[in-house]
Amino acid sequence: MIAPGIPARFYDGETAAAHEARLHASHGQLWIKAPDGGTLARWPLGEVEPSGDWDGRGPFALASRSSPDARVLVATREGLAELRRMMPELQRAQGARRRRGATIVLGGAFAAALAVFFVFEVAPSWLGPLVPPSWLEPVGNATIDLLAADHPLCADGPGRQALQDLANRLAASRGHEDEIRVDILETSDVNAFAVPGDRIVVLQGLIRKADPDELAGVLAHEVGHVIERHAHESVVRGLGVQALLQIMTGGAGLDVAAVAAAVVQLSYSRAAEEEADRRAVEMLRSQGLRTAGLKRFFTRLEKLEGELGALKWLSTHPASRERALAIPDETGGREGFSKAQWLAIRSACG
Amino acid sequence: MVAVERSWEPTVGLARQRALYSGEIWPLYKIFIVKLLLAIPTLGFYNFWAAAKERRYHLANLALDGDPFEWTGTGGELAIGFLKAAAFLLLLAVPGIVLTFLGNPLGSALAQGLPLVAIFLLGPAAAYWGLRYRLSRTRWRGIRGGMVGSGLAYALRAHGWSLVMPFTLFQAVPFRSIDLARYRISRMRFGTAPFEFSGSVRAVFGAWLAAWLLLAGMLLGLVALAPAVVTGLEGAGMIAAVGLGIVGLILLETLGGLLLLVYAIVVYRHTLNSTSVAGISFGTEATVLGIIGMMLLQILLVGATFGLARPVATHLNWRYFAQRLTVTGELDAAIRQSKLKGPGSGEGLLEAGDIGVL
Repeated sequence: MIAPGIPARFYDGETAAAHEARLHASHGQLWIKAPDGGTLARWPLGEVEPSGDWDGRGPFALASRSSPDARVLVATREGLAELRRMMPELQRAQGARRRRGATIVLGGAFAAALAVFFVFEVAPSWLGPLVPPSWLEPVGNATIDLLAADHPLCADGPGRQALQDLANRLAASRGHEDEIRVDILETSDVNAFAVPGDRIVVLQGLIRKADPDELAGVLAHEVGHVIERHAHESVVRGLGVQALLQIMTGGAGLDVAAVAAAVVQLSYSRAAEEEADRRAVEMLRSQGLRTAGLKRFFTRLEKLEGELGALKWLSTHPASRERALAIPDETGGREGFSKAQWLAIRSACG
Repeated sequence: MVAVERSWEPTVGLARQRALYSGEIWPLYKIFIVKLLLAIPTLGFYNFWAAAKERRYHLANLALDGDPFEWTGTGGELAIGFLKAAAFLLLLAVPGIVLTFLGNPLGSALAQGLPLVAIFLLGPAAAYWGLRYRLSRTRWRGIRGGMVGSGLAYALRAHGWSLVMPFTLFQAVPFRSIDLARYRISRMRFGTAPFEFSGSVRAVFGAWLAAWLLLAGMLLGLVALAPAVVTGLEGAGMIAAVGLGIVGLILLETLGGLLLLVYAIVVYRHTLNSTSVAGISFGTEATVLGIIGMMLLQILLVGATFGLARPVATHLNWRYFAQRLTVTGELDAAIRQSKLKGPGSGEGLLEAGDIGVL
């Protein structure tokens, strides 16, 4: 007795008729036959592929690359198993389909990693220098507003002025012309920031914990960020991160406050930190000031790290041990601040 | 060889029959879990492929007259459509961004506002384009759906109705609903066959008038009574009156939302019941109360499980609406395959204005 073939349903892709069909494979073709034996269609075995996911109980759809609108539906799992025995090509087509799925997932993950790398590393250093300085001011103001949201800025006075004077003297020694504005923020965190728009924020906690040499050293480091225009890079990074977030959340619109929020969250790159360290040493030396303070500060931070775990400074300024080693231990120079200035700085926030 | 026969239903006859949904919950959970796992490493972009897979599953398990539907849309099409829309919206934000960086206080509003205005203006067009994409990727018995006409013309029509609305004291709402439904449906195609819409304003006007009268009455009552009550009271009584007023407003809002929902469901039912294609008339057995119950059930399910029961809710939703979908009539044998070229990418603006990838 001749095998009746696998029962199936056939859509010709031209009309909306549904044909009862039997499937046979022979002579390199999948024969789609009507119950009366007439041939409805024949598909080259190599061109037959699954259409749909083939999970669940079926029916399972087949398509042919040569007639993309036509479909064969195999009703049951048993029929599908029989078809697989009949045409091993199907297994290969299914494998290719699965590989395509895996490629999409891996490709997607790779593209996402590439996008993140581009936004965080490549774009800032390429596009950063192209950002006009005047653009940074609104971002800087918004950044200060964010920083000052929980803790007030300390009132103006001789302490703040002393810090700003030193910052500007150091910057001028490298030919930086624009005025740097220094503010003190009333919070116990031990940190300082260079903010877009030639601004520096020193936290009161740093002033409490540091000695004059250390404070001058850290200030010189932040001035290093300012004169090397690292803030330009961080603004581009902030813009990129925001654009990425917008795309991911499907939101619309970008503004300065959002970019500022990203600027506050993101730290400078390690290369930028090391460059700021080098500039700090050069500027301190050119003003005849000791570099030992900055070195001592990093050494102390390293010990504190052991005792306290993650300090804020450490989380944004990594690898303090290596950085301390890179800074010369020069104790011969002058102090950065006069006695009167230091007293004023210590009492700057009352 | 023993062939296992599946009993195919006879071709669509004159008798009314229901659609059949054979989907299950577990396959949806598999898609859901993979989507969650891949959301972070792909920055959410796998969601497009998960969405395509889910639609493939739902449609493959929806059958009319024994023949299942097929979804041929891909995640790549959704992703490209989304990226196009995102690029368009970001581009619109650029002038505002440049202005803010130049220190102009209007810049921020422009950067936020311009894309929102575009989403609002193009909203109806996005719905139209989304419908065209869905139709072009849906097949039944190998025949593709499709849509002719212009999404922008549809948006113009929709906004035109909105502009005259206040002058009619919102009595034009049912006219708008039916006019837009006719515009959309008469431009839909199944292969070479156009969809037909025989709906009338009369069938939904009552539902709108009832909602309108109740809302207007309550609003007027609240406005008229409030001063009279408040002026006659002092101290604690006044506070109580204000409190009552606030409760009244909340009640009004809730009841108003419910009335509008009932109207929307009446329109949905009437639209489906008035749609036919190639000799087949559609209908639904879903009732107003049933649909509201279904929506509440889904909200409770998803809310109570912090979204973990979303596949269950989706399953219930498909089963409810699919199994209440009916068809009557005899399929015209003259239908041929659609010659319409569908859109290359899908649903971008619809997605961007809605929920996004995450």
